[in-house]
Amino acid sequence: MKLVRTVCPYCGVGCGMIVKVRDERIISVYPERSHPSNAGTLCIKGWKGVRYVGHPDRLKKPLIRKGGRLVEASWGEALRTAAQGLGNALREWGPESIMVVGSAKCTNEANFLIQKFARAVIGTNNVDHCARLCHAPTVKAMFRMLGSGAMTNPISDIDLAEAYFVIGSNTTEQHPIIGARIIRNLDGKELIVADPRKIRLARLADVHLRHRPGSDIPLLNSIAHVVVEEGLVDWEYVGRSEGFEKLRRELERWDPGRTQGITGVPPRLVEEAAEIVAEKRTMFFFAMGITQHETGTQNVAAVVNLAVITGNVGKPGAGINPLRGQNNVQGATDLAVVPEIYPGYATLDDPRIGEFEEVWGTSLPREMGVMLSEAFERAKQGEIRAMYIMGENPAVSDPNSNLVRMALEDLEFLIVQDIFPTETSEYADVVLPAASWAEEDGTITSTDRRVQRVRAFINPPGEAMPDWWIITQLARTMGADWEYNGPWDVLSEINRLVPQYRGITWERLEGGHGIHWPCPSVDHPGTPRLHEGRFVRGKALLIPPRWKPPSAWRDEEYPLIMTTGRTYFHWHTRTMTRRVAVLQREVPEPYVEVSPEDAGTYGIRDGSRVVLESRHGRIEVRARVSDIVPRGVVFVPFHFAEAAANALVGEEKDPESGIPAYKVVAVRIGGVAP
Amino acid sequence: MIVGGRELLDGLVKVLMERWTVVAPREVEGNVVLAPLEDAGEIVLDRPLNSPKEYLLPQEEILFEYRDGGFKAPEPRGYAILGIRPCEFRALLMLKSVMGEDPLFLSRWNSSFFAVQACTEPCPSGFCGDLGGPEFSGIDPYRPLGAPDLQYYTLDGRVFVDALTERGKEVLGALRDLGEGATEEELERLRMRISEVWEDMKRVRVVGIEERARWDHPAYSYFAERCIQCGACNFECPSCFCFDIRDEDEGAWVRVREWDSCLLEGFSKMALGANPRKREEDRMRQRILHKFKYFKETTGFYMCTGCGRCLEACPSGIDLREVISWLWRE
Ligand code: SF4
Ligand code: SF4
Repeated sequence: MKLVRTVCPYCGVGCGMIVKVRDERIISVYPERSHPSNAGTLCIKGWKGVRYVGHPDRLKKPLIRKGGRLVEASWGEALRTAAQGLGNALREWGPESIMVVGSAKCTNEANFLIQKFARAVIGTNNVDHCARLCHAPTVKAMFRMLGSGAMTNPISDIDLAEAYFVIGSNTTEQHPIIGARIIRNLDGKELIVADPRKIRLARLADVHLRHRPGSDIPLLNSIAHVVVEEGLVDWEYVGRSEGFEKLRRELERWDPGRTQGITGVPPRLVEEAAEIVAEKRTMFFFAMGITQHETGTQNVAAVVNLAVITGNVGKPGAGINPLRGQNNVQGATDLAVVPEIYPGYATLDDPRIGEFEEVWGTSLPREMGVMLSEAFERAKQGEIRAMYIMGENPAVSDPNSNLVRMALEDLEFLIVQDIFPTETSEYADVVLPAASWAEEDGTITSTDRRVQRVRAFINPPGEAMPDWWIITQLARTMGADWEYNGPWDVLSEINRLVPQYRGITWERLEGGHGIHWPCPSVDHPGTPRLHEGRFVRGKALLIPPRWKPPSAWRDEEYPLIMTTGRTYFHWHTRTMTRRVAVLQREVPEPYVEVSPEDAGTYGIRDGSRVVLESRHGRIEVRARVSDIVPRGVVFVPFHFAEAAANALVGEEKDPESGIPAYKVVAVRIGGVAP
Repeated sequence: MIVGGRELLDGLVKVLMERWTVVAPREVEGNVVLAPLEDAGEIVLDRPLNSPKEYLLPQEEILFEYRDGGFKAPEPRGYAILGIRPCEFRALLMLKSVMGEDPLFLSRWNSSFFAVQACTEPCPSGFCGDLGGPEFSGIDPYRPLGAPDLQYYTLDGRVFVDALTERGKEVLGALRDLGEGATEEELERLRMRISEVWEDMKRVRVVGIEERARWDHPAYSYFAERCIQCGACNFECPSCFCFDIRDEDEGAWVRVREWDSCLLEGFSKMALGANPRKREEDRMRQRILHKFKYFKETTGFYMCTGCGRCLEACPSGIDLREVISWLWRE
């Protein structure tokens, strides 16, 4: 029997948990009392969801494709086949023909190595991960405006705030422990929720701004307009920023009376919201509802503007908090599993790349690489010929999944490294069985920049191996001279090369509850709160956000707006959660939420099967008639391969960040069966 | 009763270790967890973060497996469980009154040894005042259902150990050398302290609540709205017994039982999708009325002993004490 302290593998909240293990089996899970983020609580995924690790479906041996079928192989053979496949592509079509995909579910060490593999072994910046599909706009806008793209406050600051402004985040479902911590604080505090859906927090809100999908900028601008017009601006903060005059002029035209036509929100509510955020110490939270739009980056800018001019940044209980979805999406971004930066947010023209060249002993690419959201189109066009995908399932998670599947089919060579067979691994030439969260030591970075240790406590099934080992072996098979004896060696390379992580060493993470980056030296305590006293950028930059109406707006042919998202009981493409009995029981099948009004129009009853069509695809799902969605809007969770909401999502993207517009898709009801 | 220093407690653990795996509060990197001890010195006096339920009804367990054409059922053995509080022991008695005919539960129960730690400090979240109080006394209302083998108290650095069963007396006998009899004055101080704590724990009245707990009370929807459905109140409650069963292919077919939660929609959903407790508030009502009305009316006991674990584990801060006071008010 052993008791192991680790961190939940699901979401970015990063709840501390203690696991009791006997005979390679998880016997019990306990929420960690002393952890500052969850303080003795867990959501159901933490309590129940971790048992997927022992599921019999786990990949246990490497597989290679022979005669059209995937057959078991030895590690030696699989690694040689993988190295050959990539080597061929490299010789025939050059480094730009290879795409490497990392994973926000894997450790910092695995992600650091996978991007190093792309850059130093293959020689390309074609490396990306699912953050492209979630917070790329956040990083872009916040980095430019504030100098850092991450949550500004620690989770525990929720207790210190006087008000909360939640926009585009179904917090109690996607970041349950953060959502619940807001709820437990509601007595005597104010809650503003901006969301087209009547989500749990909206039902508890003092002010629910039920704006139309895609009208975030008009809504946020109209609130900022009131702040300016009523003289509620925090002049000290305006003094600490630049661009206010330009912003003020832009805001003039967004008076709430006029914007009501676009947002559908009555001016009275806008004024109430403006007064609250101006007067109270407010924590802003946002997530995919802000970013997954064609104007994703501008949407984030609108949130930042409002927070800055009301003085709600860099204080205990006040700040801008983009909620990062995956347990380690923050870390995967920090360590540059993205094509536009090097680890530690070094831009492609940063002289720091020279340091990487020195340490890695090779010259490195400085051209922008291919983003995940374009990779499959490029593959379809024959520009990308080979892919190495670690721990992601783009066949279900990426937009326009029909195109993704065709592209995967067309690839000359595909390596998939995962813990379970997935829809994506069906297309692979080599499948590498990886250790799961329970079997791999390493570190992860939670949404509030808290770098924490996760621990191996059982042995991987069969011949599955830790990610860091697999990547290292593959690099060595391709001729690189990598020497790592364990994830600790990788972290010490990160300490050396990434200024934000410099003082966050393996030894320091052994006890306690992690360290918030930036942590510039081993005797630095870490930085729970950003921008205190001074913006990281020096002065904050205010940017008048540019708005355009969504191009996939409803019309006569497609009269409904579909918005996509997650449910509390499942995780992404369900690779893990469908193997957990109670989670699967709660939400066993895909569904579409339809408002009672629309249900009346189309003759839909609760439980009817409906066909949903967009310009890009069609799916069949069961209807849930519910007033959670307003008339004219339907909601579909994207977890289910058998009714992939993403098959309906088109090519529309935010030009600045490449994020697909998952949140606004014009659809129609193509048929109803009782 | 015998009195001694810390050695007495360590000695008790040592004696029990000869015959049992001893489960007691121990420290795990800054947390106190009720878990098997490796060494007698590991036991601590703080209240652990988990309830003792799992040592009789595990979070997840294999009921039987089907292998090579035959069924095989495990024969689990109980533990010597130390350091649980009187409220938790009473809750386990409630658990037994429901699960007592389950062969796995019974085999654990019958081979377990219980040593309860009486509360000489008021606890911040409990409300045992109406439900038996901070020690398991000879005239405890739950006494007819069973008693712990031993009960120990700690006061001013001294440990007092008392036996409540024959088996308990035997173990106590083996500890004679480590302690002495308690003086009248010591006993008086202890009684004083217990009654002070008891007074403190009477903040919430429970007796009679079954008369007030209406079917259509607004409290259910108010609290249901705040519930994120984590299941923790059921999981952490030492008297909640609901479970789910499933068959799994793990090479051999195994039937698995795991803790379930009445606050989840799927818990009461039937095969064709009908659900008598479809709305969240229906399920919240079930949790409250089952504990404070139905169970009381059928067994004479509340299915809650005021341990406060559910409110400690609730991420949204739903506080059963508040629910109860609201039921009283309206
Ligand atoms: S809130 Fe997130 S990290 Fe915490 S238990 Fe739930 S899924 Fe895990
Ligand atoms: S309902 Fe709450 S207070 Fe009552 S026994 Fe269960 S966990 Fe303890």
